[in-house]
Amino acid sequence: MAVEHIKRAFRLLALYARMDAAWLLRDTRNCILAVVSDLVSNLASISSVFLLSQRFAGVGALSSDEILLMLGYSSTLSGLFQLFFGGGNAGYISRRVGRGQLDHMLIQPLPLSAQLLTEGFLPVSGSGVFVSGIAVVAIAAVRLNLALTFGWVLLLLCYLVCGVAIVLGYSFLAGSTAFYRPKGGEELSSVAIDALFALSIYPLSGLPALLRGALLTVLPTGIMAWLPTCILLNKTEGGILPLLPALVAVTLCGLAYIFFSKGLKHYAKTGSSRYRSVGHRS
Amino acid sequence: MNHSLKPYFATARMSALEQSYWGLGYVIGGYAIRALRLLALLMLWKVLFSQGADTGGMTLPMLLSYTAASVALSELLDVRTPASTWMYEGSILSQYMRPMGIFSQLVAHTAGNWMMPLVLFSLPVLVLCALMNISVLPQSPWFFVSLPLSISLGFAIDFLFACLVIRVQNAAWLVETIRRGVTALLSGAVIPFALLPWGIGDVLALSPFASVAGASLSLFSGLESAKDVLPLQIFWNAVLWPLAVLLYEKGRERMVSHGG
Repeated sequence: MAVEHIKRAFRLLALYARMDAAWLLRDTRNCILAVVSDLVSNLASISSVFLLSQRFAGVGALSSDEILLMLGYSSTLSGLFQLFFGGGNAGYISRRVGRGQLDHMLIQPLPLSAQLLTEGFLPVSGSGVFVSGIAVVAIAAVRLNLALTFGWVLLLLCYLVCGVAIVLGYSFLAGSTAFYRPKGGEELSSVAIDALFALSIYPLSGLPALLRGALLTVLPTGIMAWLPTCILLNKTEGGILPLLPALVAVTLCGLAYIFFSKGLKHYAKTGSSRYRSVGHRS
Repeated sequence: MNHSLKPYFATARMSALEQSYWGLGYVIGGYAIRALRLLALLMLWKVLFSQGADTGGMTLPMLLSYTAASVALSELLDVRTPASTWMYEGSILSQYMRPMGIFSQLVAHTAGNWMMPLVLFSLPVLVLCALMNISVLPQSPWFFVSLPLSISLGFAIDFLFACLVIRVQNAAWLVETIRRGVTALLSGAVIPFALLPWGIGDVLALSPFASVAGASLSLFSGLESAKDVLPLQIFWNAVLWPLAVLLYEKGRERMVSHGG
């Protein structure tokens, strides 16, 4: 059964990959524009903090090259999320719910989870930020003379997966509101995701313990780049911190599952009618 | 009230009231995140200044004041009209059926959108910052001249981006992505140009984006004098407004509306 599910997931991923490639072939200009705009936006947003670290020869406990690694990590995580959940607003679930577009999914002969986990896959148009993030990580690793062991890369991958799970959990948790307030909650997932990534490019070293604690748990923006980078650079005191990304990911995904399931039951009774007869959204 | 202005005030009022339809959770949640972001930035600046680097004449109180004003006045310093969204969603068509100009509708609508955040977020943030001993009063009276110029330029730039949305056949999200990136670096709203290395800030300060946010904030915090800031703001207004009107007039014929 599980093997069948995995096979189906790969078939669907291949299907969405073909569809994404078709966009490049049929609407080349806009597809390239999309990749370039993602790239420019990402590089612009991280460059300000990098320039700041150059001016101040580092920020807090991190040198400018270590800051570069952190920025690369943040970009890679953001890119990974876009790569797997950027298409069709799969990761920005409040838009689908609030716009009443969940109906389109519920009539498909596929479980909702199978659709949500695969239909956002954009290996062509959504890979720009991911590739640039990897490149920045590689440059930083070379400048820092990091010994890239198998364990180090595995740890990096684990933290990236936890990061994506946290973003998804946060998005679905916030997005569940859209079941009850379709228009008001339509953009809540993007607000939540933006909130996570907006602060992820800043190192939290030196912040008061209470604020740092809040930014590692309540709004876990510190787990988006700063904490994993410190762990990967061996700059933490140990304790529970290396496990924190996984703990926060499990907690957020669990809460998101509970609230999303409750919202779905409510949606089954009320639905969401946002489209006018002419096709425009109200 | 002047009778001819009544429709614009009615539009602004309608737009302000519409904000409340989004629900308290959305409004308060968004404000809380912004407040947390401000707090983190204020702390970060303190950490950076404790490292004792050259800051190009910018003192810590100046920087804290700059950041507080930047966050509190963010709606005014990064003007976002609903033009791109209306085009993407197709609702711009119904705006053309109203007996008002499209630009004036967008301005009235946007001004209405500012009311709730200014009252519920900006005001409390400025009071809290004052309680934290951060200067929340403009260091130069010219700020009150610079701010309207910033807002005016912000509208012109937004209309230019709306023209770009028409050119890329309503791919509003694509334009928004470009805009975010460009604004983050070029406006000076988050990181003042004075803190950038290698003189990059001096070059970036010449861009129209800098005249929207960085210029007013520099006057607010006392980093720059009016003679350094206002001529450039007037120049960009004089250049970009005619350009925005011209391009919109040309682009309007290309407008296609499919619905969102």
